[in-house]
Amino acid sequence: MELDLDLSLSPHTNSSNFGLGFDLNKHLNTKEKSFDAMLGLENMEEDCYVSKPRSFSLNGQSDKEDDDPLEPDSSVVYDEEENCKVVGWPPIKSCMKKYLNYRHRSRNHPYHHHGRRINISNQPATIERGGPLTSLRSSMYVKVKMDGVAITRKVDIKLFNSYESLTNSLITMFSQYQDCDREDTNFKFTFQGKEGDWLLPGDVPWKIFAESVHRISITRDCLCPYTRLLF
Amino acid sequence: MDLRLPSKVLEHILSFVDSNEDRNSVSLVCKSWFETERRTRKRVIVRNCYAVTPEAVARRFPEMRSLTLKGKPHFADYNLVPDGWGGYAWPWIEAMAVKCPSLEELRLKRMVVTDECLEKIAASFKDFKVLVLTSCEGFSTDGLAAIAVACSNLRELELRECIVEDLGGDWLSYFPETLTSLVSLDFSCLDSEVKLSDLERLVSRSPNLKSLKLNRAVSLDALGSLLRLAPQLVELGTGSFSDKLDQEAVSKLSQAFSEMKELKSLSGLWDVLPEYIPLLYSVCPGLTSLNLSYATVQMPNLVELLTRCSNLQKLWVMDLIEDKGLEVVASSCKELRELRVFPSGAEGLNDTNVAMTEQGLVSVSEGCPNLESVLYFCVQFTNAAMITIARNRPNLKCFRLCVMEPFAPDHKTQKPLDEGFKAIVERCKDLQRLSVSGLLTDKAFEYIGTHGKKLRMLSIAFAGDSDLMLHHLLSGCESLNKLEIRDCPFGDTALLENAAKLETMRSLWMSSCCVSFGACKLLSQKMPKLNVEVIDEHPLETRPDSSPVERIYIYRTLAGPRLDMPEFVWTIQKNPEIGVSHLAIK
Repeated sequence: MELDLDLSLSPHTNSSNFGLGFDLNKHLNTKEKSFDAMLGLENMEEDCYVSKPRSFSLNGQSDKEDDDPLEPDSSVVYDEEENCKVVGWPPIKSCMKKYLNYRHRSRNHPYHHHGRRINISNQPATIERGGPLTSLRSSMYVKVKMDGVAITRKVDIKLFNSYESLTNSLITMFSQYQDCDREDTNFKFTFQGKEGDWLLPGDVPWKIFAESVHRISITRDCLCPYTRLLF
Repeated sequence: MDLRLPSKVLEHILSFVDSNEDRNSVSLVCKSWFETERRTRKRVIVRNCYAVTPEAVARRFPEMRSLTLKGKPHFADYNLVPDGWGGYAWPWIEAMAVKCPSLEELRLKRMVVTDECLEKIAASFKDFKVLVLTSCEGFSTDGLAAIAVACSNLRELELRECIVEDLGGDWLSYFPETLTSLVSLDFSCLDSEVKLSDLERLVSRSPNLKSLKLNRAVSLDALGSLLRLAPQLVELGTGSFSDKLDQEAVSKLSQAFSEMKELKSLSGLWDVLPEYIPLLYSVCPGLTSLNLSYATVQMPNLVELLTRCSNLQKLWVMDLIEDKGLEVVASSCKELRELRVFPSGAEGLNDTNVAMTEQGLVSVSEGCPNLESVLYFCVQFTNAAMITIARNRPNLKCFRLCVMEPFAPDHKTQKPLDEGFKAIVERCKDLQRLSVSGLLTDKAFEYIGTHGKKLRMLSIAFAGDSDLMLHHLLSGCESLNKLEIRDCPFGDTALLENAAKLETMRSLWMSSCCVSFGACKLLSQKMPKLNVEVIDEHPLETRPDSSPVERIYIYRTLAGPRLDMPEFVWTIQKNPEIGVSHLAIK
């Protein structure tokens, strides 16, 4: 991807008297190299306007829900921190960028999105920690309360990309601590959104869920000795 | 005859000297004045946390009650500094916990603050009163809970644009019922919802509360009840302003606003709906500061609001205001001192409001005689506009123009913007801060070097032709303190020729320029009182001297090389055996 450097080369190419002899051509090349290097975009298609892929779950697989035409296309990747083609340009602080991107996305229907859309094939992508391109990506921890368990746990929603991966991980996490055979147990998940309403898995598309989930509650129906005592 | 003032007398006299600049001068007079001054200084500001060690500061100012620290360079705000670079608050907090346990106030900017830091503050400083974190990161809401629960005399807790790991809104509930001293609370950067009843109780038992900045999750309905509990607020940051309310709730809210006779500053207003703008009319005449950066209403609504703000001194707004709206500001807000106009487009260029041009700023410069500080994002600009602005407002102290299209020339003449910036630096003799953009040649920087004598901070992006540019700046700008440059063809020669200048400045940042590794090594050797940091993702050990480095950050320091450098930061102390090979400098 190229930044359009539309410069006229005529009157302003004063070479320096110091013998380093910069001319704009050389200058342009250096710049382009540094943009590409900075953005790590050597192999990206021309049309894409996204510079950083989002992190996917540890499984690395994108969800089959992509096929639903009404759902925001999860293969179009947005990076909340970037709203421009060049890192840190225009110079706007990340909280404002985050807000502008949120506003931009919520105003536009996925199919009439401003600008060009791309389809990045479903490959696992990771955010490099500590690289020049990463800005601090805040994780999103939500509380998970399981029936009969005194301690509420916390899980980072941003590590997952589907209801299935989330629920599987939660079941695994709790099974470690409860003497409950997961095969025998019927788990029921409900999610509380920011407005306080409770939803079932799949009620809203994953992307929207991931932005607005506030709390998770798990009830279970199992044949372990503890619950037998309760009922 | 001993002509010295007894130290008690001197102490008493110095108690009237408040400004640190004056106190710094006092300490240079003689040893006894140095001693007396240092023992009585209460407020210490360290603008580069790596310029000096925490131990040295604590040793010099044992009676310190208030400490202000700044960490990362300014360009970190725009993601140009990689994660893990540094700016850790922990060594400072740890040192002060031992040496200055009476510390009451801590203000940190662009630093990494962890939950451990916050817990340490809560545990170590018995009379802790003020915590202000600006653009900080590294902590979670658990850390806030630790502060809330332990600091029984807390007066101010402000989180300004921090990146916080948000584990929920429980932290607010940790303020004990016995805490009644709160004066200022700002949690506007957090996402999670706090428990409204706890917030209401906190507000009701804080009679001295003057400043309250809510986060977006606080509903409009909740705002009403909070305002009724705190009509004495001087500063208010609302939550989301877009919930649908019934008629009764709206009129109650309107009533609540009209009771707020002391309100001077208003912010928040996220997603404000046009029909709610009239709710604010009653407070407008009293406002001196209005932040509409998140108020996404169109020009007509903004105009309705601003015509009523005759006492406004500070206005932050989106380009949705358009030229027409800025004309209204020019005629209604005669007291205006500071204007910031931000782009509303998410994609930078493509989306921005084209009905806002350079004309908007020209109007404000004509109409507002006290205008001294400007930050203006615009797609394009003209020399003529800048010349007019400079003529109208020679009293400008801060002029930051961000022409968003890199290398954009004057859109009427297609010439570089050299003449425009020349007018600015020539006419505005007290200009202290300048950010340039658009198409600029070396000439622009010759003008800045010649005229910008009071310039302290300069930011440059995508500009210039050659090394001459940097040379003009470093040799001409006498008061230069902070220089930050990105994507410009500056190279080694200017840097090395003006090396001595760097010791008179706080810091220099250059990224994506043409500084070679060899020059960095040579500079490090020549200037032992500077830390020359090369910040580069690719390993440097095998780099030839001629290869350009990604970023350099150079700052003067008394502390020597820092001990917390990550892998991607190189200084000469890391590899002293790498010699400087054949770099010929005349």
